Amino acid sequence: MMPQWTIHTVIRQAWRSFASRIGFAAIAVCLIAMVSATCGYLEAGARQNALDEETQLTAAGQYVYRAQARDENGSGLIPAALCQKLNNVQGVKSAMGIGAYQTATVRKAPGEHITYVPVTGNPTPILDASQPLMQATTIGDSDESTNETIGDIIMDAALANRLGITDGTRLQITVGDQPQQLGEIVRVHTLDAQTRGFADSQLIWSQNAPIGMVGECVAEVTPGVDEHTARELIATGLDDGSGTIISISTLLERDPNTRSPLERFRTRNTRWLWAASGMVCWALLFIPLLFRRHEFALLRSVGAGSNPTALTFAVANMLPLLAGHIAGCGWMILVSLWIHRNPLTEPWLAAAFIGASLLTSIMLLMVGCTILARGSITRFIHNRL
Amino acid sequence: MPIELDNVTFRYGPQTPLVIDGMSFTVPHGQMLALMGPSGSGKSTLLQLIGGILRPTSGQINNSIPSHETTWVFQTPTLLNAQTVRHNIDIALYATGWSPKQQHARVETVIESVGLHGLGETGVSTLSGGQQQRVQIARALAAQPQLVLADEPTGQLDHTTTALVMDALIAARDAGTGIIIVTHDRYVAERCERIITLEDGHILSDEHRAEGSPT
Repeated sequence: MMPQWTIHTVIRQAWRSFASRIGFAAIAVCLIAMVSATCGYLEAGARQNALDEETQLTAAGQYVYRAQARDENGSGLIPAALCQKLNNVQGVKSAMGIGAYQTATVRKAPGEHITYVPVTGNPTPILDASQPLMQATTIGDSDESTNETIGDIIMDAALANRLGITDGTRLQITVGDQPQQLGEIVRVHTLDAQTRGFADSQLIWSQNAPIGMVGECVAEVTPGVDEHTARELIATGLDDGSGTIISISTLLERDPNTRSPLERFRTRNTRWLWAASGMVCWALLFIPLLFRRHEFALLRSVGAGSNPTALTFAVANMLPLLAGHIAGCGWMILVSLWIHRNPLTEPWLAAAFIGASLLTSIMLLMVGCTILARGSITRFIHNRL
Repeated sequence: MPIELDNVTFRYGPQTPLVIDGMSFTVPHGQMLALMGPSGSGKSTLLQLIGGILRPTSGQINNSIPSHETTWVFQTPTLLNAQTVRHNIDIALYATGWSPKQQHARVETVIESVGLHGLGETGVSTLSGGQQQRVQIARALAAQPQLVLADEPTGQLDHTTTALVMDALIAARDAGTGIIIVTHDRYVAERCERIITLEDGHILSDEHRAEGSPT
């Protein structure tokens, strides 16, 4: 029976092969660490830049759309109830209806020109992306939690600051020309309405029930929904069957020739760097093996089968591959800590990148060693004679 | 089992001249045979035909010795360059199934037999060409194969070391290993018990001799 190499023999010979070239292995570890860390950092940087830009634009309102009705006279209104119903449409994050603007005066800030805007639906997440839905009380209604007759208004934080008003302050306001006896004391909720451009003039918003008509319906779709789908969702949701044309525009002006950050993120070239890193790291170890093909044939000629021979050289080279990738991962994390001064926000992504590169290298190494080990022994011997 | 050649011819390509032309002879099991002749006479080709590396163009070769029981000694030492003398030899013993103690003892024996005493832990890349060749010979003999095929095994060795190596080969022959050597060295040939001299692919002479008898 043909004698066979045992797994113990393979491991022993693999270790000998590795240990006899410890200098080369050390250099290989350093090079692999550099390659994998550099590729990983480039990908992490490109990824983070795209995501940061996407986050900034989302905060600025890139997924916010303004819908207005156009009747045969060129102007029109939208049923507040339809705008309210958009909040329940899958793909729409929140929607608010904007009623007629009115002048208002704040007793604490005499002489200031304030515009009062009644809104319906979910105004707070639209006005300020960082705000959750606020359970606001309409002016004139009772607040069940406090048993007070007090309404809530929403004010831009910069305006509030300028007027000396803080979040939670109670104000007396007068809407229109006539002072109101009920609901004139309001509780202020401040938010950042400037980022999305809703605070170009001095506005205060007040939550109202979705009754009647509104002049504009502003809706924010779920991030990632493309513009065509967004327009369709909103137009379908606001269609009351009367034939009124709904005109939809984006809150942010867009350059049609520029791809969105999300699209640039999805199609970034660096998303394949894990494969490139794996291939380069593999090549660093495999190319020298090509000059050692006679060693493959030598092991075959002394009784090692093709599989044990392939495994011997693959295992011997897996050690520097593994060490190099681990060092590369550590290097990536250290560089990120040094540059960003913060813990790596997504360390699992670094590990995933390094893991993908490592597995690619190992797979290519196994295939390459298997091919080399199956070379013709007879040709090897013939060439030596 | 003997190795039998029956009217063997060989050419490397359809339009190329015959390298081996109608050769017939038998090599009994355990014989030490030298193949001599001028360059181009077909010695290395004949060695490869016997070893199963080449197939005859016509005729038949009966060699029932399995490939794992046949070892080769090349003119140019073929070693694991980054490893030690000991490691280069004991890779031939991995597949024998011997215990580590037996393997170690055997490696020491063959190291001594080829005159490399004390060099077991030396890296082969630091050895001279002659020493490397002796490592190769030691590896070929280590597992006590049935057949050793050697192409100019002593080409890089001085006379004293050549004698040492021939002693090791004769000891292996005495233990039952058949040895076929291609050589230009008359001294090496005369240490063998049979000399076949080739010329232009034919057998010029087939001389059976008592081992060690002078010319």
